Amino acid sequence: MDQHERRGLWLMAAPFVLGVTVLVVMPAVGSFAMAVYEWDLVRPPRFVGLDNLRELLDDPVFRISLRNSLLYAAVAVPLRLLCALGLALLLYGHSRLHAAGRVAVLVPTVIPDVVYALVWLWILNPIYGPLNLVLGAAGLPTPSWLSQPGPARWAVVLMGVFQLGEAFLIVVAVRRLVPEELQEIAAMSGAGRWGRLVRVTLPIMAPALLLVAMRDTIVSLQSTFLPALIVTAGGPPPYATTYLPLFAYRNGFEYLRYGYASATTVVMLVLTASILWLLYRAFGRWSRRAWERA
Amino acid sequence: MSMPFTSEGALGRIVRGVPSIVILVIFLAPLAIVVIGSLSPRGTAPPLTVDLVPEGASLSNYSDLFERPSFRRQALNSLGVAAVAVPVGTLVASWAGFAIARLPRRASMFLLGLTVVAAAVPVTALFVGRLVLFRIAGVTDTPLPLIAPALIGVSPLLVLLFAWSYASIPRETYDLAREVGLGPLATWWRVAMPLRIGVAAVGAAVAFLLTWGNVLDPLLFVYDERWYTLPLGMTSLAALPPTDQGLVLAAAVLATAPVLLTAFVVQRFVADRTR
Amino acid sequence: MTRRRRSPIALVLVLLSVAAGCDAGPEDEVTRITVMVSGDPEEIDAYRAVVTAFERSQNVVDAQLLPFADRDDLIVRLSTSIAGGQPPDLFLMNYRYYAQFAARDALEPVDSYLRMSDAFSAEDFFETSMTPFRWQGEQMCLPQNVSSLVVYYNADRFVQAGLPLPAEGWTWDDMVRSARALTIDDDGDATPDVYGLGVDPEIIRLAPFIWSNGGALVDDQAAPTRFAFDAPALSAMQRFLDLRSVDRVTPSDEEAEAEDAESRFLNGRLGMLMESRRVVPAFRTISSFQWDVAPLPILSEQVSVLHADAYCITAGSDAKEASWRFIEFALGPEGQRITAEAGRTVPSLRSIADSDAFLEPASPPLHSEVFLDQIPRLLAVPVVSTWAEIEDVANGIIEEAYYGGGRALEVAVELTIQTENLFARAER
Repeated sequence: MDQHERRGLWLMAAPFVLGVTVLVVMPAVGSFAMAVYEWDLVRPPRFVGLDNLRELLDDPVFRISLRNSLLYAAVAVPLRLLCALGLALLLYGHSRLHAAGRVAVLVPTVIPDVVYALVWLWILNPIYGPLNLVLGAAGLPTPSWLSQPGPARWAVVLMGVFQLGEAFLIVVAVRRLVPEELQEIAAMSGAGRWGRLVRVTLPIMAPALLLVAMRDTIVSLQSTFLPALIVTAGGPPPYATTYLPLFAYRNGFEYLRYGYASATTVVMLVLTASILWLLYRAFGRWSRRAWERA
Repeated sequence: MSMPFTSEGALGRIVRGVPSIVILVIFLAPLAIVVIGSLSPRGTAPPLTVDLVPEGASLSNYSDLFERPSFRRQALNSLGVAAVAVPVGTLVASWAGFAIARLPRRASMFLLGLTVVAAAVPVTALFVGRLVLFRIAGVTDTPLPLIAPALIGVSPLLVLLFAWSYASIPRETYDLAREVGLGPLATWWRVAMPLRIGVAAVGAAVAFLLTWGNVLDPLLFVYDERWYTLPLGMTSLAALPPTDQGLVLAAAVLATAPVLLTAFVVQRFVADRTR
Repeated sequence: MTRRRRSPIALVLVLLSVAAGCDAGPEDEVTRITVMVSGDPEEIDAYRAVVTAFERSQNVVDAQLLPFADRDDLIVRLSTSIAGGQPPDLFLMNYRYYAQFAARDALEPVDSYLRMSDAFSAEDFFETSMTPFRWQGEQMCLPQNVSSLVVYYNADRFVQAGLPLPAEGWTWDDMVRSARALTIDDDGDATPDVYGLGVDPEIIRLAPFIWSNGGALVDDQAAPTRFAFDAPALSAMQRFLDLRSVDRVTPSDEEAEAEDAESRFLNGRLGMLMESRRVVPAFRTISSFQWDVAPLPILSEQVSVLHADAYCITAGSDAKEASWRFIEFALGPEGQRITAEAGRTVPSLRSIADSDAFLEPASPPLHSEVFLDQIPRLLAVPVVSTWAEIEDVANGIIEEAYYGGGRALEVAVELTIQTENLFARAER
């Protein structure tokens, strides 16, 4: 490749690089720098060093938010992955029915987030919402979705699970890349449908599934924001569905403590990175070996 | 390509189709319920049963919405922002993806890393930083911050999508282009794009739905009612009592329709061209 | 392909936005100001009427109303717009939430404007409503109303049940007795269809009853450092919590979640509702039954809690003179008459409060003088910069205890502990 071509390519990438620098890198660095200040964006900032971090660790609401976020990720990520995998295995074919099924699965994901949240606010209404009306008609218990901590948390998980379109699409694409010849060979050596799935299909998909799990973890730690803001308002008391993003938002934009909110963000980033590292350590080697064996 | 499983005729096909149908019902039922609920006029007592056609069903909620100047204004703003952000964003993402696919290994890895980092930074970390940035630039309270994400291709994931699809074009094709004397831009325009037009359509559709549905950016950067977009306008509907839920649902249908339409059109477009 | 050509509309929009970002060029004849308010649609209509009348009365200032559905929305938008360098010129806010902005020097004091004004002077306003808006000696905002907590009641239901109408001097026990009689299960499904009382389990509703029982809320009203509940306070708190757990006269958690008390009262399914003057414009749309207001029931003293909001000018406004002109109109006789007639306010201007505009409207409540009678007996909650945070924490604790059958002592302990550092961080 000659200089001319390389320069042309860099020029093409330039707008994106500029965009990332100005819209992601600079604000991120600025936000993290703000974590050591007490700043309300009105008066000049006041340097407080590690005070924000110390206050965070003492803050019971922060601890609850952290626990809620971790619990959510621990429940929602495997659930979403399992559902995405299950749906992909059912719907990866090329028939019209499968295509229709795929579009249906995508619908909750492509709906604008605020519409999604408002619709769920209506669905989860304990007395007038369709969910409890249907459950009641079927003789099943009708939990008070928004006024009890347990059901409220499950409601947020439910909202998250339905929006698995991104993971679903990736898993479908990966499933289609599994070579049919390997499946046929396994079939000929006597493996049944289940055997083929476990010994051929899944191991080949393993590395990609790990990537999806990692991406999903990142998403899960942030995606609770709008549901918690619009549907549950962080409640029911005490803070049952207050997650880290909502906690940061409230402290920043409602109480004008942007430094404190930034400190929360730093913790969130460290948390995300740690979880990703743990996931990779735990499953990375396993998935690679599974793939090689298949 | 057909499955290497034996089919047992029509019955077998129906049985195998059951899971798909169940999935269709589970995922589309809420949509149906929303549409039905949107026909319930304002002020009617909230129903305690799930009727297929609610009492006094009418399109009054829709006409109500269209008569509100604020609603029309917000819809126009959303369309305006999308009209700029989607083409620009798709272009930026497409170019960046092409660069990643074609640059030599080290440069490509750098750009890729940049993209992954951009995708992993938590949104909350960017709230305040961007607010300060836009304030310094004096562009708060204008539509500019809403269009700005176009500069990162609307979402870094789009860049990855384009990179992956352009990288899947065989080397020989690119080598041929080079031999014929095409520079990188011309190669992109005359070789890569046409070969991967389906991906570009999907990319534009995703850019559209991300821009259209964006509520956080207007919430934080736009304060003047004149520049509100539709999702922001809709947040004020959350406070409506149960008797007015029909209005909220009608607004939801109207806000979602363009997105579903785009998804449907792109889906057909893509389906016609692949296999 | 068309999708890569920018459409002309978009280009115009971009140009417009660039133009909006630029400063106005030559001196404009007309000054534009923005006024942020919050409230339900009927309240907003009242404010719109004031703005329209203001614009008709002169042609130098153009006022744009920025309405929000609730107070939280307004506070966030106010904060972000101040942070974004584009604050509104004016906003209307309750005395409980303005302090965080005052403490941050985000407000322009109105003292000097008030002294030089021809439209009115400080003495023309009720002192009770002016005091909470005085911050560190300066008058920060000018109040529009001197409202308080009262009991709205469905007169038809009272008459039907043969109960005496709520009146001056009625006690807590009277109220509970009436509420019990008005909690009715029509269809025999063991859940009431009509409840006798609706009250939000919040500190602002609890406070007047603590005071009514002779109890204390904080250690020092002028410079509070913590919640300081004494025996009468605890006793009042327990009576309040009993409304749900013992008397069962208010909706359950689930029912309150499904439909708020205001909506219930509007639809005739509530015997009584404790609220401020704020709901009157919406309640005036009621056509199916008669309603009126009564003072708060007594535990041992007649007292209520102040609800006052005021117009504040932002320090970042570049049209402060024009903003003051709007305040002069909105809070002068003309503007106050409009909001009084709309039912929204208990006018802070004495002359209007005593006039027919407030006392003898064509619409209910017939006994608006109840609000005026309560004025000498009003107490305000403390004004500190972190009160919004304190309320959020306190309301969570109270709500949980209210629906969960908690005891007053536990609530008091929780409230004190969990708000300790909020009071510590507060500026007064």
